[in-house]
Amino acid sequence: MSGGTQAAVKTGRKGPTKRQLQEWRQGYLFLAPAVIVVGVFIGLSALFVLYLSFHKVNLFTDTYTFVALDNYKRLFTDEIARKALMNSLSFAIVVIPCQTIIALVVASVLNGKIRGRYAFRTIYFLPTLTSSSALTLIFMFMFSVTGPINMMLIKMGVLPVGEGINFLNDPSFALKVIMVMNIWSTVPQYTTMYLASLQDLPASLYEAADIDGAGTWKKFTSVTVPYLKPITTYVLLTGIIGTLQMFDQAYIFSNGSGGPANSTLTVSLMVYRYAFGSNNAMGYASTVAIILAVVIMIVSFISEKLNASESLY
Amino acid sequence: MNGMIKKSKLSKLLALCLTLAMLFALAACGGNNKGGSNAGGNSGGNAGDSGANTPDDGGSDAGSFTGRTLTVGIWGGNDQETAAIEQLKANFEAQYGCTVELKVYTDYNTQIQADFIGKTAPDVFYVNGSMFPFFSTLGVMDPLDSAEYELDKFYPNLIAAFTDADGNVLCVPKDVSTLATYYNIDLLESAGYTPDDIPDSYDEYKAFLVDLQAKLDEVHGKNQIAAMTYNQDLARNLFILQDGNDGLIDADGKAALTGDSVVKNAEFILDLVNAGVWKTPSDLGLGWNGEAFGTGKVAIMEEGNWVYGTLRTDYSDINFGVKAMPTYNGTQYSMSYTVGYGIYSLSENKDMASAWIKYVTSVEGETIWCSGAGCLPPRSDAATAMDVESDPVWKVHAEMTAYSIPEQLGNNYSIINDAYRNYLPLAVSGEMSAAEFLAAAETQANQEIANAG
Repeated sequence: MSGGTQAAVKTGRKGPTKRQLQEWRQGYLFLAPAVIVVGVFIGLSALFVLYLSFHKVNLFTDTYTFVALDNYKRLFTDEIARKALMNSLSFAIVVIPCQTIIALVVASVLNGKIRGRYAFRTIYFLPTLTSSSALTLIFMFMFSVTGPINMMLIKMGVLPVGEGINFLNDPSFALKVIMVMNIWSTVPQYTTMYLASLQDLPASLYEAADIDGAGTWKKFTSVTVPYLKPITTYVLLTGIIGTLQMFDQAYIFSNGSGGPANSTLTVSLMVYRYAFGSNNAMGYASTVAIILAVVIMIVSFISEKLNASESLY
Repeated sequence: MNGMIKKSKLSKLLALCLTLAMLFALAACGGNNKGGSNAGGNSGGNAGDSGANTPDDGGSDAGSFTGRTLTVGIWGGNDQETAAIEQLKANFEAQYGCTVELKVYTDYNTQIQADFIGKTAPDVFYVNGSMFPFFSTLGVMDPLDSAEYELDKFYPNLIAAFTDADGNVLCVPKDVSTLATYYNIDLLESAGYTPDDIPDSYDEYKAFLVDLQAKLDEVHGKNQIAAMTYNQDLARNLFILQDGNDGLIDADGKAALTGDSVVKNAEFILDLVNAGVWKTPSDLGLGWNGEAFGTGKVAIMEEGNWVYGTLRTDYSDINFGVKAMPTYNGTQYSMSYTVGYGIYSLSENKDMASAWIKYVTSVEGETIWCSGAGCLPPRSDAATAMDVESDPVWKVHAEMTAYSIPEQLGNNYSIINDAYRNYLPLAVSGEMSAAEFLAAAETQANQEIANAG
């Protein structure tokens, strides 16, 4: 590519050379498969969802009735939708800071010169390799009335014998169990990203900090954290998207119903229930999906702004 | 310079090769899809791995469907069910000299709807009784002629379960399961009871179960053994809730859960739960009734006949008996769960689909299926042929068929059931009264129904 450009500059001709044209053609040819696949399966689908959200849809009879903003109006008076949004947001508010901070701390510890750090790195990465559905089932076993968590609490004397908490069927605990599970399974992935970046952190920065008399904590907050800012931005963004779109764990946990008492009903689960239940309500489901996308965009935008403004000190 | 030209030529060649390879890969994918959706198309591979019966040596009789393929949409079952359906398939293939392709769905009610929308549903498919009212409104099944399918030989309440709003029968029932009362004889005796002490009426259940629970706690330690399990599901609670009223839906198919009679019936359930004598399997840390009963954690359960096979094979050390469901307010009830076969209205193999249904719902077909899969035949002549009366457990379940109400609640069964299951835990924990919980469930269900439009 650069060779071609140089050639163009040397000859001083205006407009692209034959070779440039050829290279561009080649470039687009290589891009074409990806563009077509992404365009059809993501671009067109997204546009179609937008179209569906203004219609009352019956896919079985292929009828689309234009209802203007009816679906949107209905959504804003739908208490269950509000509950689902609150669930998703509170899930995100708890999970994102936890997973980011824990990942950061674990990464900086594993980056230190501790004995057996490679073994720890491998062990800590295992949760990410487990499929999320298998993970959910394991957690459901652990948190069941007779499961290990309750047994531990009973042995420690926190709970009376034979009166374990039914975490799975108690609306005040169900979502929290999923939070714990989600944090546990996402931390390793983010730890790995932080760790990869920490490997590149020049030792001279720490040496300079040592000379200035900084302690471990000061080095962590003033060298490590600022250095990892770009990674943090990425972690926060993927965290926001991942938590607000959480579906599989809630689905398995509640057997698809979002219960008990809608406590595990996330927005994605609600979309699924309207789109593929016996509801036949693809139009309304599309509306919910569009609003979810807008919420994710807004939250991501705010978080990026906040994260960027910190660097102005 | 020369080298550079060579290099660029080489890269051009490589690019061309890559592009061609990609195009081929895409074309191959497209081709495969086409073959998959065309039932009659490239089915040679499927026929090959389907086992011993090759379509060509179809035998002497019939052979009218030679060389054709029938697709049957089913959901997966346990090993015995799989063996039974494979047997039916092999017999049908041998008789007609055709190929039967079993399309096994994992999330049936979702995936089959996707196939209806895509107009690629199998020629003939399972329909769950609870989903029938909804599917019957979609126009995806052909009406079936009563005489042609000998519908008068089937139990009338099962045919009624597969009759649409216009009075057309759209499915032929293939089997039925009913609820009965299972009791663990050893546990009852350890508490000083005999099976005869179990009351025949729900009215006396509370007093009996409270005593039983106290004795079980005394003998086995507190909270070790539960007197009885129940399920927080309309599939199990429907007959109690709709006793003495017009049912849980109104004329428009909307949920109607707030009538005095429904509230009273819900209070009856909650009373047993609050007395600590009805526990869910999840309260015991177990998956379902069969597991709780099989591991000896519960003395009495109400379960369908599918649990019989599990108890015999997986939990053979449990000494149990079976009796009729208790009466509620003086009426004998049970629940029935039925599945039927419907013919896809866009099928190009309706003659084969029709022949398949006739075969699998014949006395011979029902005998193979029901004795293999562990369910009751939907027609009395098949029940006689199978001699279900000879087994005491089967006898009880068969007797329950006549008293059972089907697991159906109009088009919106799953919505109403989800709303019911959603709020029942709040009533159990005491956060809501029975009336409040039913009102909350009704509001949610009707809002979802309205949103669906």
